Amino acid sequence: MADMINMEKVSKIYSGAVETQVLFDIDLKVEEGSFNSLVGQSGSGKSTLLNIIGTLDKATKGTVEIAGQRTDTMTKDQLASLRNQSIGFIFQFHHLLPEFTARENVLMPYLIQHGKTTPEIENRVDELLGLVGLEAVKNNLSTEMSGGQQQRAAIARALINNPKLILADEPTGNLDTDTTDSVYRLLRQINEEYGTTLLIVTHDRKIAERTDRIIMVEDGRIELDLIT
Amino acid sequence: MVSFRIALRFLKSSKMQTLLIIMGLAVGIAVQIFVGQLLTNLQEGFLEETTGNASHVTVFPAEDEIVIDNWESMVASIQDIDGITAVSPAVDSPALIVISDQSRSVQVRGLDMELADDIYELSENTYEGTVPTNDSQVLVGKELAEGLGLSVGDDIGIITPSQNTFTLWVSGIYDLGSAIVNERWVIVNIASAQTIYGLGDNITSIETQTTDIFTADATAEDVRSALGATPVKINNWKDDNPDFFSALASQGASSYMIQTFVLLSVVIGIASILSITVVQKSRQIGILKAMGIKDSQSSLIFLYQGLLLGIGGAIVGVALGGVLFYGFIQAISSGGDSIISSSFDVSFLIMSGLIAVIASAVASLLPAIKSRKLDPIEVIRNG
Repeated sequence: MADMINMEKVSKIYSGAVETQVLFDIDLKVEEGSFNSLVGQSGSGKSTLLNIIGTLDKATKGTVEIAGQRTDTMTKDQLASLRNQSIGFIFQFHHLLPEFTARENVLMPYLIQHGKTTPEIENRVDELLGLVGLEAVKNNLSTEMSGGQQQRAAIARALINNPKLILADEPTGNLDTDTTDSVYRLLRQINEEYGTTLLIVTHDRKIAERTDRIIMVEDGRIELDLIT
Repeated sequence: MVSFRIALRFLKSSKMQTLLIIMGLAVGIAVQIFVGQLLTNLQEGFLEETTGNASHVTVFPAEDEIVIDNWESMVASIQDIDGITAVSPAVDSPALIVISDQSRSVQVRGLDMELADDIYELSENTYEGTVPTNDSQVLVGKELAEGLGLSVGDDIGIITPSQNTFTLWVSGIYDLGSAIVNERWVIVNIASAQTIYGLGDNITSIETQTTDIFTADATAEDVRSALGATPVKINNWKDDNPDFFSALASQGASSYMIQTFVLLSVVIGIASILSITVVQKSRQIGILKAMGIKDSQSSLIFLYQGLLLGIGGAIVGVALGGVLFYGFIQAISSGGDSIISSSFDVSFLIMSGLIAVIASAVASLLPAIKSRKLDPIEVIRNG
């Protein structure tokens, strides 16, 4: 299988009053279609690693390839297009747009790319909202939904452009056990049905153990890489 | 297109803020329209009041002459000049009116009633009786008639500087809107004045009106060339009243200054509010950028917001300014005639509206640039 993510000697240094190095020469390959978790303590650098993979942050040194494309040499606009078309994000704090309904939020990445909707995409939005179980609240503003509903809307939004890679940062971080389980099952279903590569940052041991591979980051280095 | 949708939704989702910005802009535009339209109409009214019943370019006898002869051909050639709207020959001379124990120093004006009407609107301004229809009749002004207790049908005696006395019959009383004129001018037929002063067929001046008082000096030049070498003196209202024109020019300049500063303060206001909006919406912009919105698209969101607010503010502002101005004119003219007309200059309204739209689009440039610089990772990292 080809690599979805290929990082070589990636370092990240935050410069400021005091220079802080948070990643040290990371080498990481993630296979296409795999389901992976990234674990580690707070401040270990796992979120920074995820953000560099998601092209939201830039590596100070090293090369990053996503779906065979070098991202460390791309322009801001090229990165925006790559994020829009190839990467789906699920954040811990949902990050839905509060001015828009669940349905509109899900549609937004498509609109960014195409500007207008088609009957096909409208159907797909409904299908995805059905998949995440939000038919009943699809026309609610995101502020009128529960935390679990917002997280599921964010998952549907991450899927709308059929991304090859989904990056999730603590997707179950502030959800109760039952909702956490249903979100996990949803992610697993997406991985199996669409062949989407998933990389999930999580604190939750139980979730990590249910993924195919656990990558453990400690003090900016990969300490453990475990195929389960 | 997605930028426009987001801009519209941002505005809709903070209705009170949107309403306040639109009202702020609208009030600014309304004041600008009110001040602009008021001063323009005031100037027009003032100009019409001052020069509407006055000769704009006047032909007088040469320095060492007291009369103009062969004036008929001069009147004909002046009438052909572009920009001349009225030409009227006149005979002017001082006289004394004596009624029982009272006397008044006046100016006898011999006019061709028909031609003079184009300048002085005598028939219209004669509020009692009629203009003189024969050589023994005289038209007197309101204040003179009141001062001497004259009414239509009375006889008055006129004593010329050469001590000749003539008796004239009052055919009517006029009001030209100026007490000085009303008290001083005693109007008779041109032939009557020629007889009184023994001028034969000669006259003492040719009065004209032009389409534009602001170019009266140029028209005076045209009159000069049309009359060729004829030895006459030509005066024009503009050169005779330089202070009046400099006052008009200063008033115009102050009007533009007020309008400019009102607009400037509105633009600064919008720019600062929209800048705050960028901060308010930085989370949303960060999320959108993470989802792949390009910097140019995120800038467009704020430009569209500026444009939409500008259009809203322009529409409300033009309407408000119109109502304010119209209401003001109605209020000040309720006691009688006002010299300020309530007419609107449509192109001025359209221009003001356009300026509002452009100004708020310009005001949104700063926030547009700010949103361009916003880094999504800041938002994602800080939740």
